[in-house]
Amino acid sequence: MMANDCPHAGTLLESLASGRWPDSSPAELRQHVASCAVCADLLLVAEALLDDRRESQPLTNVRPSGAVWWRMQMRERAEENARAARTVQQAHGAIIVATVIVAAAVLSVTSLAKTVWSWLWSLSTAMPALPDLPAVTITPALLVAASGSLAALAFVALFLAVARE
Amino acid sequence: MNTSTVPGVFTLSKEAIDATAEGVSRMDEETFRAFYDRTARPLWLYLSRITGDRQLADDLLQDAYYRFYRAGDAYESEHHRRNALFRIATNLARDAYRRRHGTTEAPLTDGISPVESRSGAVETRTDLTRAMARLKPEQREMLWLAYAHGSSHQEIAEITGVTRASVKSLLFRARQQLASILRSGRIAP
Repeated sequence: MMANDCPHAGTLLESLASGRWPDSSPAELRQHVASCAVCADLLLVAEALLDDRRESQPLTNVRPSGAVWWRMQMRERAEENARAARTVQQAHGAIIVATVIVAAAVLSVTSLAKTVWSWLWSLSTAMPALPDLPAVTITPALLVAASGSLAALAFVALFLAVARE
Repeated sequence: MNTSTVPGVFTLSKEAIDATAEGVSRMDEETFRAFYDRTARPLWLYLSRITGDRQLADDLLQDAYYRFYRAGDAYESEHHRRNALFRIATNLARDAYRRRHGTTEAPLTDGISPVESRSGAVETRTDLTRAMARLKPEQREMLWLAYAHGSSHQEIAEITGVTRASVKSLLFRARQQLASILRSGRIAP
């Protein structure tokens, strides 16, 4: 039981809880409680708390269970809506950021490709000793197509990442 | 400890325990309402006594049931389910207390409001309420659970998050302190 600090504490507590204390309790227990400080404390405290609960509980007014259930459903729905709205907001933000990043990447790649191509071109013209290399013709259209594919792939990857969230 | 064997303290019947023993991931309305009807009054009283504030107890009660429902865990038995509910309520009360007082160590100094009674025991209960207010929140929790609610040491440990070994000594000290306050007559009117 609750208190084992005195061997009789458990018996006293059960006697209190069952309503047998004091009249229907054994005389030995009553005599012991009268002379035991631990049991005297226990009796004072447990009796006060138990009486408080017994008298107050029937007078306690709580909301009806149906009203509580309904309010819980409303609250749950509101929280789910708020969560969905937050997710959509985050997805919009992510798409805007992704668009900016991809646009910057395309511009950078285009400008870098031009530089690299010019450098390769000058290198190839400066190396006549390698006449057997296959001729590679990179047109601006090919460059734009490659960049576009890269951007499309980046979009798809970002979309999948956001959609998974 | 078989809680259904102590009349006057425990109100759960064996049938009620068995009826709700099969845990589901989320309670349906009928199960929830039956569980609420069995537990709301004891839980409200517990919250009211440990916070000393009836309005706060109302709010915490709603919140505790909502969080319990949302947690959606399956429980082995009615006892586990009830302990889980009381644990949630205890944590909410501690959070509320911390928000109000900045710590859970200080005793209550405000919001003491004894429940009205038909009998002439109001004075005695006011004394008890004021005496309880001088204790730390953890002491109030343990005393109420042990002596008003009839919880075992193990159940108190589960609800309060204190180890079972500590419950015994903490409860003993809290009981001594409350008895001393009640006897001393130092309770301000």
